[in-house]
Amino acid sequence: MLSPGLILLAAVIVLAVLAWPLRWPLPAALIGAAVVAGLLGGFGIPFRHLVEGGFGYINLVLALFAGALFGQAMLVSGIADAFGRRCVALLGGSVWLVLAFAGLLLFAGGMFVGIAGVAVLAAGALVVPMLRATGLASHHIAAFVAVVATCGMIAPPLNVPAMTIADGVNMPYLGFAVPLLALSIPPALFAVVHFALRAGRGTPPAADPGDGRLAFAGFVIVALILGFWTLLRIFPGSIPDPAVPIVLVIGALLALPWLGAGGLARATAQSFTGTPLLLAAILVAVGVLVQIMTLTGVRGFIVINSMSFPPPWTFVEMVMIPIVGSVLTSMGAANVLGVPFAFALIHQDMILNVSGLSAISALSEFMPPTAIAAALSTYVVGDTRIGAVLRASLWPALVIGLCGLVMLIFAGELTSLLITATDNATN
Amino acid sequence: MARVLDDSFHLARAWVLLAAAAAISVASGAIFLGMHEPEPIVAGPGVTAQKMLSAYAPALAGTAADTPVYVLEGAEPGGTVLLLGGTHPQEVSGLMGAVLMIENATPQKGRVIVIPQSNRSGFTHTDPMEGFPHVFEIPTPHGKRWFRVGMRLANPVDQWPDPDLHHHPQSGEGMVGPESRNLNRNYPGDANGRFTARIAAAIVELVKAEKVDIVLDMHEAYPEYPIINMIVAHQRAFDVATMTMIYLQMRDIMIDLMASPPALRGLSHREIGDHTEALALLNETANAAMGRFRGRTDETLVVEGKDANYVRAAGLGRLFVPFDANGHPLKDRTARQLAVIEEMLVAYNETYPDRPIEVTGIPRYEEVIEKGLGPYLLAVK
Repeated sequence: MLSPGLILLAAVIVLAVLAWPLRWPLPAALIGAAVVAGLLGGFGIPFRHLVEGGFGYINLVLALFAGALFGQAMLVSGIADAFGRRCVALLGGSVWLVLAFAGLLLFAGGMFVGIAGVAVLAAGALVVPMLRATGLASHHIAAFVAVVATCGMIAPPLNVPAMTIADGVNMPYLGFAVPLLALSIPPALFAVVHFALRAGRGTPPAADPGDGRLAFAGFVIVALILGFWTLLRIFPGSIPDPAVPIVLVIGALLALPWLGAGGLARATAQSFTGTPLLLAAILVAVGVLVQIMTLTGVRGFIVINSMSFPPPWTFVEMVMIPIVGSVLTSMGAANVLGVPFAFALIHQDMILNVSGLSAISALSEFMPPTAIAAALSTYVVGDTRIGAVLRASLWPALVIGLCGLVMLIFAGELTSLLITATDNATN
Repeated sequence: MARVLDDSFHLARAWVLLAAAAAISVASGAIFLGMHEPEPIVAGPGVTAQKMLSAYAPALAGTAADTPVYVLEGAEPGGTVLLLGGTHPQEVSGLMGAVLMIENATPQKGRVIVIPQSNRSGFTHTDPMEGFPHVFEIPTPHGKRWFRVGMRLANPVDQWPDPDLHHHPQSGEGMVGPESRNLNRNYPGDANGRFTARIAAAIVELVKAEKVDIVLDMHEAYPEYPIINMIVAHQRAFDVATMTMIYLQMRDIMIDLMASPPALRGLSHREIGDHTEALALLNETANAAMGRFRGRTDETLVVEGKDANYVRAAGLGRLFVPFDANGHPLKDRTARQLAVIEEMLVAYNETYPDRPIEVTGIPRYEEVIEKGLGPYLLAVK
């Protein structure tokens, strides 16, 4: 039985050998590394743990497939294209207005689903056609989609990493609206400006306004979904919450009159193959690896070694959150490292701690191998590569991280500004 | 290898993969179905009646929400205490505290009602990516006894899908969606609500129907959690809780006290206190097997409670409880739960002498720490 440090080293070597010289698919390589870690940890081949770990991200996988189905239904039916063309026409072809409107849709998607990848798949399909009219290069379009969807994920009402940390520290998810808006709106605005400056001059509005009926269907479907989610959050408990996957599947079915049976079959096939399937397989394999790493003590080894220095080094150590999140995803990083970091800063306002740490966890959306938001925006845009998307996302992503860090470092000064007396009484 | 992965073999490869998937599904299904077998609990000399929770909520009968209720009634009338174990099934000292009461305690005055597996559905699965063992064993003079490690949430097989945001219906307070399956976020419950809310409603109904005077919900938390080795008490229970804390400290059992936050809703100490006549308390012990700093996760960690990472974390000032090489073994944590019960009853009897609850046979804190749990577990017939 090896020590956790040596097991980690061996797992990294096995993963690298399987993934590169032997060219195994990444999910298979991750599971191979997990099996080796289990053997070296003295657990033999821990069959039960290998299966159980695969269910770690089942809800995320379901949401991603539902988001892909919605997006593909919009694309295959022609709604996305017509909707995009009509929006460009209505906005006079202005690059700034198109970016702002597309940003608003992505941001709203992220706000209501609370997971950037799902927002990318669902809202991204609708905004990519209109973003192409701005003259932005494909990798910039994908970066814009990924960054703004991630900002939406950080925003209230649903921020899954923040909710995960709040749950871990036993806080109700109350009083987060102002801090989360303070964290999400500045980087979203920065992204609009950043990418607007890289866009062309846009397409003249009269070029091709698209099919009016299809565009109208797009507006209605978007309005119905956003309207339902708004009512759900304004009147909690009064309306049954069917959860994101079911809402998005119903949204996809609303396009059925324009899809037809053949179109539905094509949209379904495209949603459950290619990048969505590969990402789902990676998430299942990551769950397996995390389970084995937890079992063998490697996870604890990483956590304790990520938090071994006293303040002010605590803030430097937080760089480990997105690094760990590159494998665990933003939600996993929030759970594994976000919670102990929140407790490490317990002397300051916990709402600000949780909010700031959720923004830092969100950087995992741009950290390979998972890099969920970036990978899925690359898929949605199509004609670009993830490396270029990650490079184009660098500055806006850094602004996201900076906002989170500023909130944590200056929590004392920001408390009176962002937290009401009622919020304090709550916690 | 390259030849096998070649496209010309794709059909054969697909069949092999499908067959492997089917075999894995069947084999793992058998393992997880095995978790539905509950650990044996032996009715001790003080147990006068056994029933199911569905006696108070008939709709639960035959469902995974139903769970055994043990009644220990004294010869003389008095008050009633309800002990809840297994609200969160991975917090194993709560289960063991309840089991040791069932197998050892004998009331003379009043009644003790024990629900050892309050969220029985949570005992039928473990949390993915946490690597928990499914069972742990305790050596006894009659051989080994086994007990389950479960998960804090009800099994999604019994309640699914999770909403995006769990709203506590009575307050509208929001939490992450899976908390809708957390029994201790669902009080006072809803008899017509979802699976977990129905369990909470049934327990509240039991409290009302049996005119329970005092409730103790036994929990554990990770050592980096601030509310640890601590009693949390509803404001009406604060006098009894304060006296309990003092009595424990007089025995060199260091423990803190916290008032139940009025705005933290859905928890037993808040809602049972608000919605019934009972005094509501909750106790937390420190379980390293639940924490994020923990090393190797196995049965030994659950039972022995020793972890080098936690010793290091204590040195770094990251913990809210002392942690040295001796750790926090399950016997110590269970002894602490029992000591809280014992002193809580002393404090209650002094405060409410007209409805006394006098119980003998509760294993003593010092003796459990010295001898372990085995001598207090009965033989399974």
